Amino acid sequence: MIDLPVFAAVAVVIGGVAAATARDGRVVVLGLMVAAVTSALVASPLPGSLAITARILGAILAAYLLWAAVASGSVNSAGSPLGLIAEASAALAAFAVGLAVKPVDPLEGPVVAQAAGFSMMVLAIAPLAGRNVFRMGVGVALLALGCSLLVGSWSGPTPALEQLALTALLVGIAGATTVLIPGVETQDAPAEPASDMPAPAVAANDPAPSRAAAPANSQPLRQQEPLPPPGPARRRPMTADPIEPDAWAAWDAPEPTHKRPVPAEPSPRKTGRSRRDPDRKP
Amino acid sequence: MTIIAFIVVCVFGMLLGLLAQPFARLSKLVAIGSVAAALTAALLINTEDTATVGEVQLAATWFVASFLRALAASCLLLCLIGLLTGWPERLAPAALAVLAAVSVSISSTDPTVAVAAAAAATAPAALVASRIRSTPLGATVGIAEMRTLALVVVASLLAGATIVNTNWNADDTTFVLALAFLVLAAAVAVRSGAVPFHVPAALLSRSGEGLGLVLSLVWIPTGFGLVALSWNASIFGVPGDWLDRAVATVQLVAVSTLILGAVGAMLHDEIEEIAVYSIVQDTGFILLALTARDADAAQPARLWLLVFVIAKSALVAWVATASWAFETSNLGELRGWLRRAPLLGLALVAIVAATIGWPGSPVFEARGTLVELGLPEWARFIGLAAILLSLAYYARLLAVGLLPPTAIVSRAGADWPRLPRLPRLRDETADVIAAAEETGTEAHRSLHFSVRHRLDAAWRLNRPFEASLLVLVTAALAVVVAFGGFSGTDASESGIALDQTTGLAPNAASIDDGGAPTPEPTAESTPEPTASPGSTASVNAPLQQPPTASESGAPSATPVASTVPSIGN
Repeated sequence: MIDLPVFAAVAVVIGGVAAATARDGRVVVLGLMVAAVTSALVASPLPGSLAITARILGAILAAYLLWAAVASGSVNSAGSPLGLIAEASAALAAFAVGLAVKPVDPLEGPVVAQAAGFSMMVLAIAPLAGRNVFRMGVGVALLALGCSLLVGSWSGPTPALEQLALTALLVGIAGATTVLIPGVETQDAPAEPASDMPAPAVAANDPAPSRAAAPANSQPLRQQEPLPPPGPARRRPMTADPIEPDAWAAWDAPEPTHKRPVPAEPSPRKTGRSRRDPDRKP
Repeated sequence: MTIIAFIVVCVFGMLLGLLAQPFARLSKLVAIGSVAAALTAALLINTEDTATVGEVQLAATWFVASFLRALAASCLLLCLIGLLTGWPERLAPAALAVLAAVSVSISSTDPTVAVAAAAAATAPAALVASRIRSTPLGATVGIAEMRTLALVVVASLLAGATIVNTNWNADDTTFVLALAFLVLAAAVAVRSGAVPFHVPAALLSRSGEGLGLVLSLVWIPTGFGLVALSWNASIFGVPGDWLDRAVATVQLVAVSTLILGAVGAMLHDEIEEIAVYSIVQDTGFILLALTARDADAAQPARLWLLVFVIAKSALVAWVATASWAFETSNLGELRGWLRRAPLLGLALVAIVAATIGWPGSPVFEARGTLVELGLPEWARFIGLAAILLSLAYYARLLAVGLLPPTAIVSRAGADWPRLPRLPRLRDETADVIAAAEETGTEAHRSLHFSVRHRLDAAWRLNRPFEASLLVLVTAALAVVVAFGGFSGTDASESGIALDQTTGLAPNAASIDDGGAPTPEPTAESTPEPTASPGSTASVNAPLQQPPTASESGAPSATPVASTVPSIGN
């Protein structure tokens, strides 16, 4: 007779393969949910009913968060770059390795938990190597599930509070993925090179969110129209909120004015590191 | 139960804050209220309180309470500053989530629970990193954030499993320990932006995070660092070639961070970037605490983390206020800022004093001890170099502020209070009463309206002063803690719950009782460990009653061996 942990481990791997390889975002989410729900059952003895309930609810909540992102249409689901066959083969190989090796002797938990853990960690590699935030989030979730399975296999049954912490971690990963998924308009935009060197783009130089939020195809400022002069439009003025004239009239003579006439030319800062005149010869 | 109450308050505050996000005013009200409630709950934490959840005990030590109070107070002050300078929309819910997770991780007596909660505490950083997700820079920041999260999850969970396990099937078990040490140190380094992992932090500084920077770069790394440091001397203190190599690697990263972080702060012109590189530089001391592998480094490391949280929160608040007040964050355009904003100048001096201290002060000694224990003798000049480099970029900020002001700085208002002149106010009051008598209306109503209007106007007019004052309060708080106030030095002796189970701070109860010695537990008084599954049973022993050396059979110099099974036994 096959034990429940074995069934659950197989289900975890199947769910993981679906999450890592499916093109349809909804299938990805469903696969992840199956993997998350069944991973709680790959233990011997089984956790308490409250812990299992918490894990299942957490898995559903995490899946719901990702589902919401998928439903918004902002997820570009290109599928696995390796393909279903390659990913499934790698997962199976990792599963076999997990059944064969014994880094901890004797194991405190079921060996299939270790095998499923290795599988999930292998499945997480391809999504994490890409640059699709949704896929990466799924990869991080698979990684967390794999690590939790390995911990369960090496260290024995998981305490209830750790189950709760793992649930929070899974929901946190799903939530982080949902809020970090870029908008539709920038899905295919080339990402900025991950370098600390000064970049010519304005967004890389400017800490102001209003300018950092420029469109992806924005040109350097020197090629655009002159920006409006610095002032309240960009940041909140230091002096005060607009106050009704009546209120001002009740005051003494106004403070020595700090609001000098706005210069006609944009401030040098507006052009950031491109403040040098492009036409000027060196 | 007070620690449980704190966690519940944080979780509900986070949920309420997220639910109220679509409503601008309500979300501010809920956020401020929730953080204030969290601070109140933190202040009410009983330092001898324990609670058992399942098989795991949550214990609030003196340091746990102090650390949570420092986090909550910093968060509240930053939210108040955000009300004036630009509301950080998701900072409060994210901070409350971090507070809840950090409180579980540093009060748990079970290592696997502690690391799982510490990993969960890193996820909310995405909430503040997502403001610019629709830009290429935002996409890059998001990808970096996901990869950081992946590394922290793997490092924490696997290191936890490695540390509690005794049955490794390897000839040289120090190799496994070295791996665990490396992944833990890597997680701390990547999360805190240590060199050479500083690119995500630098990108974050360019993304207009403002006050949100403090969550990703200060609060989360310190919480994670506390958990990592709890095994510093106990687990990784064993000799071994592999461990020595791993420690040397981390030492290299720490030295790079101490030097290049300061150089980065000196070379950049945006004050957000200067603040970020300053934070990055000071995280080098956390790495030094990791490399020390000495019980003597535990107390200075905890004190440094306590000061680091408040001082760097104050620095980020200073940057946000200065860039809001002068409408620019470019140092070249901020020339003369000190003449217009003396309160901010005072706050910056206080931040420098809190971060560096001076010889004899607790924070200075803590930094010196970490350098002494964390680096080989020939490399200890790095500590002095780090101080001089820090002073250099802080002096640059102050020197720029003393120069003749630019047009942008001159145009901005000053941060000293501006009050209405009383004679005119009296005259106007008389006018209002006279007008009321003429028209037959109720004078007190008109007068009330007039005064209220004036108070409202005065409040708005003095916003720069109010923001600068709040920054100054935050900086003053940092100074007080850095110089031993609020019993920070004594509290840092007690450690977190995990320290006590690993034997690093066995006398926390005696410190908490005002220095009265704790009676040595005897075999009769030591209860049986709770029924804990697997090999974690020994680390789940009730807190503050470590078994004596005679019970465990281990020498008293290595108390960890009695409570946490070491690899290779």
